[in-house]
Amino acid sequence: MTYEFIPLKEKYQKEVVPALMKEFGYTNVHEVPKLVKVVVNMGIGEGSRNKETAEIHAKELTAIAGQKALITKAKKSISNFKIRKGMTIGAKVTLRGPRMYNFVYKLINLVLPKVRDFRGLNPNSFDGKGNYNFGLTEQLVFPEISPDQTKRIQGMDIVIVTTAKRDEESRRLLELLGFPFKKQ
Amino acid sequence: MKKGIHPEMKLLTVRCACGAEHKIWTTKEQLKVDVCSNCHPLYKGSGGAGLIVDTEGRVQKFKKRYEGKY
Repeated sequence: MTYEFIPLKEKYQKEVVPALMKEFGYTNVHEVPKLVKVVVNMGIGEGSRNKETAEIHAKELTAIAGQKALITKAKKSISNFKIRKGMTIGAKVTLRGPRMYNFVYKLINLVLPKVRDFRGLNPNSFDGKGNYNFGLTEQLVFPEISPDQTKRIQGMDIVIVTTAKRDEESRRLLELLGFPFKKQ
Repeated sequence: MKKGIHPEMKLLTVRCACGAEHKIWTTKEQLKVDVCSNCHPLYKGSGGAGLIVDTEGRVQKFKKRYEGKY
């Protein structure tokens, strides 16, 4: 697969980088915060008792991300969670490079508007080191998934890792990329 | 990337119900979208009452019905 066009990357290079350099006074382009990776994780939990559930959701993740999802297994047994070591407990996919930009573009422009009663993302969900976390409650918000063929509603967690050192820099980066944050 | 395990992706122009077009890579041949960043009230910055997602022109119908009565 060759990429003659990568959504969002041009915007980052032409608009976001100069704007960030001006605002934070970076002297070198390599200082400017950029996206490192996006991890999408589905913790299936209760539904993990049969293996097929995890496989179905992994397939959904694969369709969403365009990259094969990994079925995650329990590292150790935890009786409170009713899991034993090696049981399937979810699925995840780590996106980098062009797939990441494509996914983020899709997220901003097609997915988040479809979230029910969407009032903007929480501008405080940064981790203090410049990374952003949020969750979606159903996989149906992705255009690749048709509601008729979906048997089980499953949410997901999305982690956006950036090279920003502080939350303010990261927040501004995501804002300039087009993330709809709630106004404070 | 390992060969042969990942789905094939195509560059597709997705047309939203509002007429806006988005070019994305996707695993599907066709995608239908009824609300996007171009027509969602939150993105347009209208705020407040404008946050009602209005794809059928209901808000306008409502406004028209009570036009000039108050």
